[in-house]
Amino acid sequence: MNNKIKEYRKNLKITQDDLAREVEVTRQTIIALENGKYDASLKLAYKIAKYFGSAIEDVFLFEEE
Amino acid sequence: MDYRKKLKTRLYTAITMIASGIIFTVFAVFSEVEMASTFGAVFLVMGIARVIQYRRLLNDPEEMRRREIAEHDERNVMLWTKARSLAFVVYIIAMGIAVIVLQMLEMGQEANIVSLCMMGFMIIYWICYFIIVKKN
Repeated sequence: MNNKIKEYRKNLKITQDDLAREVEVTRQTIIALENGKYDASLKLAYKIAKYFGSAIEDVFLFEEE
Repeated sequence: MDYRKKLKTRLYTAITMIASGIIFTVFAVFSEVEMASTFGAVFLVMGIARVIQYRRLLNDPEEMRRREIAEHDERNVMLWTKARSLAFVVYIIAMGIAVIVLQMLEMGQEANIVSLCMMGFMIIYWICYFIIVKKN
């Protein structure tokens, strides 16, 4: 699953560490999410989208296989 | 449960480990059980290391918060679960190989013991599976 976390984060001018602290995960998880190596749970996706003030589907791009 | 409370519980467990280590060590001095001194040393070292670690965490709120996040981080939890699953598979395969090797070496009794352990493991696995299925 692709996502726009990096884009949103850069727009807000915050670091991976800041975002990690805000959504209560480790920085490694944010790195893995940004690199597309890990798919967030629904709970984490909601937290991230809420932090960015956007809808989940705007931040996380679901592609049907 | 509040993470501070959790850490305190772990601290008391570590203190119990130290006490057990002392008991084992004293038992080793007055008895001829060789394993007792090894157990005593392991319990003592592990207990002391954990007490130091937990006390440091309890006195440093920032570090405690970081640790709490790391412990509950969903990716970490997934990685630990995957590692445990892989370890289980590797263990079962290793036991299967051990049974074959032991049979080839004509060590039937030992092979039977390893086979029984393997079967026991599989039974425990299925019991755990059905408990988890029922709960979810």
